[in-house]
Amino acid sequence: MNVNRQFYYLLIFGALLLWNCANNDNPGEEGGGTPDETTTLLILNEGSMGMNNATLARYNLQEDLITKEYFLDVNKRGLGDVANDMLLYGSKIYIAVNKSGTLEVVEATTGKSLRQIRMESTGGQNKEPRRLAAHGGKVYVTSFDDTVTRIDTVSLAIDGSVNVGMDPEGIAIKNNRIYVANSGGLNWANGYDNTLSVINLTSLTEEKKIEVGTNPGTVQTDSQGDIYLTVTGNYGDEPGAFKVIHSGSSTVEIITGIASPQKFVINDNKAYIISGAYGVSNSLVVYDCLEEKIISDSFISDGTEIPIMNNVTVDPVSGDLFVASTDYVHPGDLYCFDKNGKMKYRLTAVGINPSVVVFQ
Amino acid sequence: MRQFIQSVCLLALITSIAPPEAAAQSVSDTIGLPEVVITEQLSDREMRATAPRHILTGDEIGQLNALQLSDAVKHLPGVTIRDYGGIGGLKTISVRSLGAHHTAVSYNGIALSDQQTGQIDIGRFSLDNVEQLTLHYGQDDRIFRPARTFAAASALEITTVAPHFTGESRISGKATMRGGSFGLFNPSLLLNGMLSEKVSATLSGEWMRSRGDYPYLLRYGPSGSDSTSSERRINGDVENMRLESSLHARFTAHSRGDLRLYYYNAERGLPGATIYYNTLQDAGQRLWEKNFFLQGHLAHAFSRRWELQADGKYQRNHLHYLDPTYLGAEGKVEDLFTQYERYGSLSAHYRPFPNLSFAASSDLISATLHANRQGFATPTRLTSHSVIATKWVSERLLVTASLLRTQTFESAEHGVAGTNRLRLSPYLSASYKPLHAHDLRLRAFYKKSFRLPTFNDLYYPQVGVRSLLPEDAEQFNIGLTLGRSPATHLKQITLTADLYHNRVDNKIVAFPTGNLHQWSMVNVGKVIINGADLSLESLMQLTGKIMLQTGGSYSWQDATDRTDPRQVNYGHQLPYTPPHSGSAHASLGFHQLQLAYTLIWSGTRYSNGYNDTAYRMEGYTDHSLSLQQSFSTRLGQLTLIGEALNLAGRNYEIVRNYPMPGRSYRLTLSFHL
Repeated sequence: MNVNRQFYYLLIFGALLLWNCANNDNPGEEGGGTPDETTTLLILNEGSMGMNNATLARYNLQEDLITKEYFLDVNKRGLGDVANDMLLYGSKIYIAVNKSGTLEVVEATTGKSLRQIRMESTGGQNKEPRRLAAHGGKVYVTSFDDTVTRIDTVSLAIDGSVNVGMDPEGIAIKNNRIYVANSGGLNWANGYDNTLSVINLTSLTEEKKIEVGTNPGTVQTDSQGDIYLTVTGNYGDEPGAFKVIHSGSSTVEIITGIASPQKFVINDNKAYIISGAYGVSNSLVVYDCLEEKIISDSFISDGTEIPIMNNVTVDPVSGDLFVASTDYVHPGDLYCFDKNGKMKYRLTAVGINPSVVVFQ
Repeated sequence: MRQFIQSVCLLALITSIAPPEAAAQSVSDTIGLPEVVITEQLSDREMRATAPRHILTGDEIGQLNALQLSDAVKHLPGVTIRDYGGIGGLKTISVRSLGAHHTAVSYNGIALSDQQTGQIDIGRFSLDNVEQLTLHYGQDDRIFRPARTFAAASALEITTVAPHFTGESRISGKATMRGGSFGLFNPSLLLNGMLSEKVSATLSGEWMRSRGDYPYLLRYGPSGSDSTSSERRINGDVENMRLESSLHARFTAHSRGDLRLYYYNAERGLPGATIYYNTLQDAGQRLWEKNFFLQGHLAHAFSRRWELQADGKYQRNHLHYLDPTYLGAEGKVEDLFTQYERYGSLSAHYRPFPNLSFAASSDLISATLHANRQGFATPTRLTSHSVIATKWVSERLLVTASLLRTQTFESAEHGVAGTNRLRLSPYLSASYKPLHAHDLRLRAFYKKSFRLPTFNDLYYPQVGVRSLLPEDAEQFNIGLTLGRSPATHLKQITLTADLYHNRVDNKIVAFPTGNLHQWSMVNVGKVIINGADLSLESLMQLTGKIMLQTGGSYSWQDATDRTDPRQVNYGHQLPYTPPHSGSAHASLGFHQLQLAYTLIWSGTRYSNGYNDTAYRMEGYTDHSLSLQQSFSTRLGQLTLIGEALNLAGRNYEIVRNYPMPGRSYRLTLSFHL
């Protein structure tokens, strides 16, 4: 591309960016121009604790080219230690790096880190950021110092915080409310935590806590405003379960038939839940949120076996489902399934503990 | 790498240009220096050994620029020390890639024990009162020793200075004062006293303190263009104290005994891995240790044919761990562990003919672990070892064979106990001298051994599995040793070369069983190791007054995982196991002056079982230099030593994200009474 063309495109891009920022009260993950077809995958690999080997990999579908150390190549520095979550919001990608105590704000198209936000409490101690959600020009981060922190997506600075229960994990935003699962994971010796915090989005204050069961993990909502969550239990006498709090209600109900649910994702009112029963290969249970019933015990229809599924993500454009596999020690693979559960392709040894995938 | 090989070849070339001479044991007479006599006798023992054995004498250790035990042992071939950096960092020893659990460490003949972790932190031991270090690969040829010493795949023996007196004096000793970079302060005192004709006693005390706050360069990526930042290691301070006392008695010409008391008290910070953008991550973790043992040894020779010995030990280890920054409800993690061990052994030796001898020994060990955890099992393990061994010695042939039987009885105060185990461990070895005129020996050994699951493996909350099997290890070794005393200038040259094939089966690994939070200890690993160890030592008299002692070692290790072909790391080199590594040392002695140079070198290795460029760790070299001057005074000998360590100043890493100190200095002043 010659210089003039580059400059011209930059102008257009800049204009789009400005226009998008001015009109930025789109809910969910709408970007400044949804692509018709996914061309690139950005894969977050959590890494192992204490190893500084969290990575961001980039896979170009058309060229079948993978750059395993994309963040390192672009920014000349590693991502850090244990990156737990990644979110595409607008034109930026937000990455919560748990043990490094940072939040990287990355420009989605170039991979360049625009800001490294230090997530530390007064006194310099690491807040340990975990999971992300976004709404109305703000990004919300749960941290293991029992807080939810709000970051402005224009100034890229922290502009608010609220105290929640112990060791908050999953976070979802719907109908002017933020729902946070208080896992109490670090407090396992004393019985975890068992609540869901309900936070008012506008005032950023906690309205109430709903008792949901021991060690809640992931929270997601459907289009009706029903809140779905997984409760992981205590690996002993209290089992895990998949539960729902219907919109307007304050009590939780168990959805039976799903053994040891782990992470899950809701796309187009269907929940894809990793079921991690002891001793058998993980499977993906599909639950219809509108009809309120399980439609499949195993999404994967072609017999592909994945012993341990670390995470599941759905491409909203194509409906393809991505499952990250791991053995927690060596690099894991990323599987791509079409909406009928047949494997399309598999990327091997992408990184250690591959997790969230973001689409462009 | 090429340069290293070139210099070794050059050294070998120089030292081999000498006319062959008939094997002469008369070298010692012409030199007349006591150290050389000892060295030669011990190197003789190394040469004849049926299984590789490397001995480091006190003087040789003095040439290695070593402060802690781990520094000296790094020079031995086939040894991988996992060193977490600084004086206080954890250091464990693995021999020929079998793993740290398969190496036993003994102190004056009796095993040091840690049933909780199964590993000994050899960084805990200073070299101040160490007279000799011996590393046995496989097994010792001497069969008259406690049954427990036959159990491990390899054994590191630490022998402390025995009381010796010169002339008419009834008191001898040594006082040392050491200081160095990063706040190192280390005084020690050793006193020997002759209480009577038959009894002597020693008293030894040492205190060490170090700030450990060395600067290091934190690299945010592997290539030269990646960003870096200058940091300082925090929370790496160490303070420890050692007190030892022993009584040695020679009751008659045929019986002797000794009693030893040992107390060690240490506090150190655990700096943790250097986490990007958060180097304060483990700023508060602390570890306290209080270790104590009392051990005794009695030996009596009934006749020229019969000998009997008894050993006993009582050990108490206390460990206190604190993490004050843990974000749980209590805001901290605090663990207290106390281990007790009682040990007794009876051994007999029968020598019906000069060439043939038999030995039998039986040991009983009782170990208990207490912890401050809620509902902790408080396990006890009773282990019984019984061995029968035989040895044939002649001028040309040396053969040893042994069979060890081990039985464990597990019990626990709460909950289910581990499964009792019974194991038989055979051993066979031989060395043969084919040519009469040359000191060349061929050797081979086979050993089958095992290591029991540790208390952590069995009882750790949520992860421990009671039914774990022991890990099995098999070793095959063939090698040769060559010793020559060729010329007046080249006093001695020795070469050892060994090829080995090891297997580990039922390796105990932590395995995720369904999700990140449900791990389990499983006997699932299989490892196959092929390797070669080479060592070369030479002693040269350059002129009438100048002695040059040089040596080097080289190791090749091909240690691959063979657990499951479906796993991505199948056939890959084990993490932290460099295929190529080596060491070298040279010491020039002129009257009372000594200049010593040492080199520790490692090739590339991987920090993950999956050998990808993303996990490749570059090789490193660690050069050190020291100058030592002794003065003879009326009262005794005064020695001044100045050392410069890691001359290249690079913060290399043995374990990923645990940098070593860069260039540092030490000054030691010691006075021998």
